[in-house]
Amino acid sequence: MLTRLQEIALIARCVAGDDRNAFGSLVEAYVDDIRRMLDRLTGGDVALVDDLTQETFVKAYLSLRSFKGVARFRTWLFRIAYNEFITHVRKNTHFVAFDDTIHDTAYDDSEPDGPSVDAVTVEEAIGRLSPALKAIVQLYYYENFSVSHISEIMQMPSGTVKSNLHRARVRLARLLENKKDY
Amino acid sequence: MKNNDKISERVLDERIRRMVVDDAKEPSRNPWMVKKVLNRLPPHNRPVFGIVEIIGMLSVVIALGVTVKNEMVKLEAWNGEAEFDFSILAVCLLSALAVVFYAAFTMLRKC
Repeated sequence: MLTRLQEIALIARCVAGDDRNAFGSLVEAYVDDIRRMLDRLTGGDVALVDDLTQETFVKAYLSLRSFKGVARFRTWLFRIAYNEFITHVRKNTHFVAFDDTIHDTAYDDSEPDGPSVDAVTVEEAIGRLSPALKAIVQLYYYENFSVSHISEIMQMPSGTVKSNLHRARVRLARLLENKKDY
Repeated sequence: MKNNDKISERVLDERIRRMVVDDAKEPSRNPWMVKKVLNRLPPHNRPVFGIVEIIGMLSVVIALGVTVKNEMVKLEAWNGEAEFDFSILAVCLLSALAVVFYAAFTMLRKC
């Protein structure tokens, strides 16, 4: 991962001189992180992950002048990637419609998790969460973002992030209760 | 009671974090991703490219204009002796110049 100073230097070169090499360095530094998040959100669709990743960086390039530098570049990139994923979910009929009311309303705990299964892997369990909870789990546990950074990325209040994180944990715990080492 | 809730939340968090770390899998790397991203970026936006493009287009316009003039002169001299027309040479040189400018312009925009 680049230091803040390195990020600022590369961004300055991109903005001032349209330096494609500098932007290439930024892409190289963060492409794996972005792909990892999108891979989990999309359930491992490689072609879709590549497409969304490219869209993310192209959008980032076009919006570089609007990057104020208050948040880290990595946080800003993840926000663009998450928005790209949301846009795709809303357009695509194969996905269950992204329910962003989950941001504000109480989670429906009465919904059954399906028939009891022997051992659900962590990936399968995360795959059963709604897109919003899946994103929060991915950002918190896999990408090690803090609650405040997740709040910036997903554009929701910190309190909502915390409560959704709690719901995700409870849901995961229930799905994984048959795992031996849990 | 509140402390117990915090402790159980922490225990839950640690358990899930442990499982996530154990189960973490990286997606397959795409070594061409950086190149693909750079190829999708819009063309460079530098003032010098605008100047190069204008000069290139002017060269083509001049070349076309000279060609048309040359053909008109030939038509007028149809019944008389034909004179060597230097404009043909000018047409060739200007056309070559136009091609060179556009080639340079295209290469520079891709850099």
